[in-house]
Amino acid sequence: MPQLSVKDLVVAYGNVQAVKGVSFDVEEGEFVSLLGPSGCGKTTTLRCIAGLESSSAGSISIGKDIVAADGMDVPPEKRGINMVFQSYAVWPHMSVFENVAYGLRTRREPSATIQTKVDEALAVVGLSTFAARFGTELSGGQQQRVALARAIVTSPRLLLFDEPLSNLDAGLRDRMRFELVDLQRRLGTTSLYVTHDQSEAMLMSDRIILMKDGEMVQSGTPRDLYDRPASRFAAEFVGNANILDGEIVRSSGDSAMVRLPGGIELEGMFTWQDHRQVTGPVAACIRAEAISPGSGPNAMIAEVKTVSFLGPTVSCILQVGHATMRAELPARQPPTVGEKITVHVAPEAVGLITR
Amino acid sequence: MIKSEDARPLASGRRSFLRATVGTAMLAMFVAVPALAQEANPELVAAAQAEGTLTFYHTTAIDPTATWTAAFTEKYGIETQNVRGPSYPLFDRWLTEERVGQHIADVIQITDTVLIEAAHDEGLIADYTPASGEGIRPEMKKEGVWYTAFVNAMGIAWNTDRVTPEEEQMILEQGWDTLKDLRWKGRIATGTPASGGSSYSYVYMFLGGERDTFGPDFVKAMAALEPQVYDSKSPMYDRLAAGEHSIVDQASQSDMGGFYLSGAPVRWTFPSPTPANLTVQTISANAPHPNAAKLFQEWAMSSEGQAAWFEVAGVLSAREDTVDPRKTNGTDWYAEPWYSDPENLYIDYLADPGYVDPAKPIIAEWNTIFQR
Amino acid sequence: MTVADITARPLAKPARANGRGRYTALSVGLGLLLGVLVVVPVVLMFLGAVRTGTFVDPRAEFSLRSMLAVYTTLPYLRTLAITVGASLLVSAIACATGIALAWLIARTDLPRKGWMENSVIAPLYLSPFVGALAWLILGSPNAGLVNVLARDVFGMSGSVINVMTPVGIILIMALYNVPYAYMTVSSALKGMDPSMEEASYLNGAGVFSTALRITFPVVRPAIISAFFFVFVLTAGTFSIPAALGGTQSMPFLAVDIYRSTATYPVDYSRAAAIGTLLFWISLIGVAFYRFASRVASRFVTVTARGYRTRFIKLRGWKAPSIGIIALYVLLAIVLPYIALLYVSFTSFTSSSISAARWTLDNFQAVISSVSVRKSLFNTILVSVLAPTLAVMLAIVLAYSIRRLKVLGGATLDYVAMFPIAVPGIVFGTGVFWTYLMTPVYGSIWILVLAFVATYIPFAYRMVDTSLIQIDKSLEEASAICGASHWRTASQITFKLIRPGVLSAWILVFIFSVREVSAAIMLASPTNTVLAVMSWDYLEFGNVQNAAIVGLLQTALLIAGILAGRFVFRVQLSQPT
Repeated sequence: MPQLSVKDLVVAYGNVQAVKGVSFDVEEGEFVSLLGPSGCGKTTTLRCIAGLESSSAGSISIGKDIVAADGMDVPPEKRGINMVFQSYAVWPHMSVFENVAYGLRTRREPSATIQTKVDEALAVVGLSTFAARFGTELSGGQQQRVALARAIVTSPRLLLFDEPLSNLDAGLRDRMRFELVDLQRRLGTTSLYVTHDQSEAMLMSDRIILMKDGEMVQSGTPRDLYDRPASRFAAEFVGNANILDGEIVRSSGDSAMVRLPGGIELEGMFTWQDHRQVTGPVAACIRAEAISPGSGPNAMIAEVKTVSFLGPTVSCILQVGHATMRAELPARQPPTVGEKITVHVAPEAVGLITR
Repeated sequence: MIKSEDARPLASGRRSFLRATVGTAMLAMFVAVPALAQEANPELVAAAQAEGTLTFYHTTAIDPTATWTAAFTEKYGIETQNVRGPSYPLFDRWLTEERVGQHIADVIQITDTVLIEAAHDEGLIADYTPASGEGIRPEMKKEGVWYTAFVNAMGIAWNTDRVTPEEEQMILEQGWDTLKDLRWKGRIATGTPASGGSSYSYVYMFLGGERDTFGPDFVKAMAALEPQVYDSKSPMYDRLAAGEHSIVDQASQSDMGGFYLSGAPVRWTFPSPTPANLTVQTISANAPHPNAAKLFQEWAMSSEGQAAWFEVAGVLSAREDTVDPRKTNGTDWYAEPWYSDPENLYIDYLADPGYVDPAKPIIAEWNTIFQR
Repeated sequence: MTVADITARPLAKPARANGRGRYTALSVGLGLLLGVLVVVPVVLMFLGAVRTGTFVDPRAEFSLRSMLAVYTTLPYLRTLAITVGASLLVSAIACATGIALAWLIARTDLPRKGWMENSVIAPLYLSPFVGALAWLILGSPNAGLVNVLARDVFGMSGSVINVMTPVGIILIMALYNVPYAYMTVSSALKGMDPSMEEASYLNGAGVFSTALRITFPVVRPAIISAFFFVFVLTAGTFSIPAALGGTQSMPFLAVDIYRSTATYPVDYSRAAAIGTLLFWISLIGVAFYRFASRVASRFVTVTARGYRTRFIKLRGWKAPSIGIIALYVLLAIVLPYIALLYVSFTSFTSSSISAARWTLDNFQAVISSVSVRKSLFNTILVSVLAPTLAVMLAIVLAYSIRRLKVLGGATLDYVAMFPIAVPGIVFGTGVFWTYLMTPVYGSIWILVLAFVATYIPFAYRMVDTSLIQIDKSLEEASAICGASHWRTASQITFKLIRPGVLSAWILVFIFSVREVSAAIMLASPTNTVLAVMSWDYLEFGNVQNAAIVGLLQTALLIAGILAGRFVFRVQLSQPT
């Protein structure tokens, strides 16, 4: 039985539907991300699960309890879950200890238990020495840890994260990602994480649910999403692939020959069975790192437009026929701008998407 | 001057009276006032008109005064700037202004002659004897210094909705002694003698001049009724008319008459002796408009000016030759069975040492009795 | 000047060598200006307290008589205790009501929020003493309309309400102070990060528990500052207790001051001495107020992207909540205006509505009165000039202190907040003596100067708050784009603080139209304003005209507010 189950969730404000019938499950102990650009409905979905937003239709159940169905909602305080907010929401009038103890005090747990649990939670996030400080005396990263400790101390059935790292600076954000994942793995808390940052989602999640315009676009492991995008949008949003529009020339089962504008033909594989077609327009999706120098299958003559040095690789913009694509080539013998080079890409790395 | 109705707003309800009595008032003036011949000196009029305006510090109620001065404006074309203030602070402010050379006021009105005489000693009062002042009763002026504009008699007033006919009969029969009656406990209101000259004069009769008849015991008996004490009398009259209080003292005809005309259920009586207070006027030594000031004083003391005041208020003129036309004609309250004129005015206290004492010990005594 | 220069020494530091000198001049200039506007009147108040008479009274001498009497004798100390106690109560009641209303309107799913908010702040549009007059008509024990109706219609005996008691006076004063508490707390609630409360819900706390343990503690600085603001304002109010029976109903220091200046013996020395006493009390209040404002800036937290606040569903509580607001609106607006309209259209204040004589004469008389028209014109003039000058001075002050960091900024900051501690009637006396020997005396300008000085604290605080809220990086961005100091100030800073400036203008406008205490002390034939007209009518004329002039003030205020809202899009409180 899934720990969280969302069925046909609809959230409407007047005539505008922010969430249009989203359904998914999160299994116990799973770390799932809702990923998508801003305005895709991911935060609204999360807030609905938290009970901070009213659902218009559909149902949400957490554990065995139905918490939202047919527009009736259980208030957030009765859902037995917890949440980490983007703005940390550390209460400025309380010490770090009191912030963390708040949920336990609400449940009227004995003070000895509170002391132990808060100490533990603070130790987990590495803030043991800050217990007496006030929230506003801490740095952003420390405040985020307080928020985290506050959320885990109540041993929630489900932990929600609302873009918790987006207010932190880049270095700290990277470190916190690992800490968060590590913590989640250790505690085994079922987690739902909202982010617009695909690398964050890829790095942390067991599973990613990709959303767009209030609908789920694709759901799967990070690897699935990366390798087998089910739509142009998924391919673009996850991993920023080159998308080349073409026409199917001939098709045989999983693979097809595609003609790109400018006459170049490439062999590729349909990402999903239901994308298979024999004719018609198709998008060829090629990851920049899948393009290799030299001859091989799907070899092309490309003119180098720009070259940027990234360290281990160089990022080049290549002109192939009428199309341009980004390629990451080894940095050891980088091409020069204006040079015509031969590159190739394995047919397995050319994903064909027909929608 | 008769057109004052258009020129200046009137207090509510007095219009009907005006319309009814305007004709008779004029008639009365022309018939009963031989002194009308004493028109002001044309040179003075010309000089005053050249100044064109006049600032008048007064203590009488705002609208009646505006109507009164509008009659003056109507006649001479001289605008008046009226400044109303509570008598003591207004006079004090004028003193301060004069002392630092801010000469703003031309004519100053006050209900307390003692203060004027102190200012006269300081040289702040112009010596001017208006020709029309001749007609003012001798006890109501100090030649060359101050002249009485109005005489204010003060009695007892009650609200007929809050007082039974028997009680009314009792008030009329008992006179001042009714103010000691325990039935008024919690139903009576009064004003502090500290608020101005008229209240002070009123209380002075009880604690000063007629101390042998009334004295502290009388005032104590009244204080025992726990009256609501007002710092200013206008709100007290309003609350009487509304029925908040059943009975008040220090009721002056100029105010009660206005409420009577507006239909309020009020009646009043003047027990004997009836304390009367003089509202007097004087000219500032450094009046910025000295001629206008003189002309105004001439007009105010003339039978014409005095009669004009009767249009808005009053019971008794400072002049022998001016009578309220309503009285002559027996209209308004003069026609009411319960009304009678004051018979025994208490007015000869102005030279009493106790009265002129600037420390005003009476106020302190009254405050002690009323625990204020 | 290079970019590095600017970024290394952002803004405040003058870039040119002679810059420091220029700011010193600015600082001295502002100091002198505030000195004359604010300090001299206060100093004169203290001097007046140690003289036996006025400054120009030839017989007056220096004496500690008044000070000793006021500071050491029982009646005054007793009145002091009652004043402080009553003001604290007023403040507590006003704040509790304001907080409850602010929370209901900002946080719950009540309908017609905009309408409700306008209703809650509407008592601002009535002069407090006109409001007190209305309540005298409604709630005096024998003739109060409410009591008479209760007796006649419901057969009750005695009086249902009595405003001429300490409880009555405290409640009426509280009623007219609710808008201040509401506005302060409401804007704090609206500015608060909603996830603070959401986090509490997710930690298992319910709506009321969250309100008590999170919401109100988080906006505590705003509550404290509203509390002491109302306290200081109340302690200096004489008009409401004076109109509701004065000392006889409840001893109050400000009433004693008024009586010292209005009844024999007129004793400015005693008035000033009581004024100094009130000054110290208020100063303590102001210290707390300042402390709270400072804490408030420390409470600024990261704000989330403006996620719509989830309105709390009141469900069964909706009806009682609307009931509470309706009761407030009834008490603060509906009943008082009914009372004022009633007396305006009747020939005398009759306690029996059936016996009342209805008439238009009062209205016609007042509207056509030359002096009322003149005072209307004066009021408009003063209420446009005073807020404009006050706000301009406030901008210069705030900019000089916050951004240019002029010499002695802290002192200027303190002096600018000074007048809040001085009751209007005492400040009026100080202003009277300050300008007595100048041509300003007796003109409309003395009122403008008095009002600018009296209200500079409000204007300054509001402008300063907006200035603090502007991220410096916005100004730095402009500077880096090569804009000059002045250009940055005029193009970026002043544009960004515009909403705050306009709100401050409107607030001072409201105060200027209503202010009576200082205006009474400074009235002259040429500068009478509506508030003084109304007070004079109440004291020396008739209640009918006082009510009509009070209504005229309301009309003027509403016209001003509407003009502000539709022409300049300014609002007194932030939109929900």
